Amino acid sequence: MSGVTILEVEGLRVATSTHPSLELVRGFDLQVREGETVGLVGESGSGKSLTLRAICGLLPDGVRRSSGSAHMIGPGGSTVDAPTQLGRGIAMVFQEPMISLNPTMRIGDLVTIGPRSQGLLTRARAHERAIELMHEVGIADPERRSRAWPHELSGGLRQRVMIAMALATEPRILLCDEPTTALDVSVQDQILRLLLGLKESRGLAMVLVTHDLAVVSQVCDQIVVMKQGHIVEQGETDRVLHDPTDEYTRRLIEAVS
Amino acid sequence: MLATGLSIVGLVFLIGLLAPLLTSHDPLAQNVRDRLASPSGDHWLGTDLLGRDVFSRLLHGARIDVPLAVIATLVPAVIGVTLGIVSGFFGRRVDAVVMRLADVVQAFPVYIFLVALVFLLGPGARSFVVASACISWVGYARLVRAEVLSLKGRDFIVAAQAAGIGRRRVLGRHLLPNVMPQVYAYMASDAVLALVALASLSFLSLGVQPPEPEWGRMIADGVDRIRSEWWLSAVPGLAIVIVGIGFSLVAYGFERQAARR
Repeated sequence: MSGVTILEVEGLRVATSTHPSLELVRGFDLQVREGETVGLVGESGSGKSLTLRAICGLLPDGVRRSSGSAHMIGPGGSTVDAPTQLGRGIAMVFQEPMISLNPTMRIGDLVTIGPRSQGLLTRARAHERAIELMHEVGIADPERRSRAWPHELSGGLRQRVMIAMALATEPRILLCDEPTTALDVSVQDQILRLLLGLKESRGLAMVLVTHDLAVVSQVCDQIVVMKQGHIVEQGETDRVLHDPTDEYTRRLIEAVS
Repeated sequence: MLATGLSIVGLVFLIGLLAPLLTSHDPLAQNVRDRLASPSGDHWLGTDLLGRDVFSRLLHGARIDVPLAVIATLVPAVIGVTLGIVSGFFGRRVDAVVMRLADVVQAFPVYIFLVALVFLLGPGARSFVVASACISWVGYARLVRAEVLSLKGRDFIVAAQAAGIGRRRVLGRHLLPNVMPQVYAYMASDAVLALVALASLSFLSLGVQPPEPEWGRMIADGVDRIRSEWWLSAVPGLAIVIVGIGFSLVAYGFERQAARR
């Protein structure tokens, strides 16, 4: 995998605000190249989601980035702090589509909230754009669906809406926090295939948090394995899966095969 | 529920607005020779101790009690919602100050505090509104703060932020619309309390001053004659009950609407 690096994370640490010595992520390094897919795996509580949120500055109250950096690297080699690029190059897809959509807004309005709030899209053009995006993420009959409320859609459709919302901001990198975990098995596969298709068609880079090693082995170029806030193994997918150096990784792989 | 409640309150308010057209007597005109008259074709609800037409006073009372109850609800609501949002969303020092202030207000029994404040400010409608604002904001602030705190960490708020939306816009477009239904429900039930508080204060000669035909004052005026001309107190009392039920129904309607989301 060649290509220029677009996201660089160095020495990222996350701690609670009240007890700075209580570290939840203890040193995380990552380079994501253009169009690359990185799988971030590990058991529950290993700090995967927190790492993802720390990268884009969406940490919940009570925890904060205590040290380290996350930078987006522009085409000219310029670097900017990643959290400032949220909605302007970095987009995020969340785990729970059921509760990730504002219940007081119609689907069509939700899809384009990002660019509209940044003044990049006029009201008149917004509807047209929403329909285009809904079409792109495979929502049938987008015109009718755009008038629906979030509670009227199924989980799979809502996740597609979430993805359309992310795409509306024209990201270069998509951070996906267990995008399929909350969905039915059959729908999981559809969403995963949609994400892969978008990666190809848009040349998107992706960081995929998941605990599904089977998914990772199919779609990721690079794997990062986390345990208790540490990276225990990191490398190209084939190498990690066939020749793991860490005992924990070995056990993870054995658990699925 | 909501429609019924709004119609009741609206109708009473409308009757108040049109009172001059619906009545043939001046609510303030005294006629001592015709005092304490029983209900008749001329005076539908009789006359009071000073010979004033009770029907006319009852209808004109709606112009005082209903709008004042609404204003004494709106002012603290605006203050409370604003403070609650600031407290819940920005937190930290502002939150600490606002919530300790709320504790202080809530440490006093409502009516004792209300009477003390009005006494301090001087009797009258304006004092009643100011005193209500000083006391009732607490409920709104607590309600909104709690709602904002629980919504703030919810995924759809974080997802909106992830789409690159600024804090202020998240607040206005994503947080507030989800908080307001609860606020409306609380406002309507607070209006019942405001209505009764105004009548109580006027009953104690601390609210709207005579000779204005305020319902609480009318009840007080009739108390001495309760054994003979019982309607002097009963009729304005009934008016308060009807408007109170109206506001309660509105509150109930909003509550059910909020719960449905």
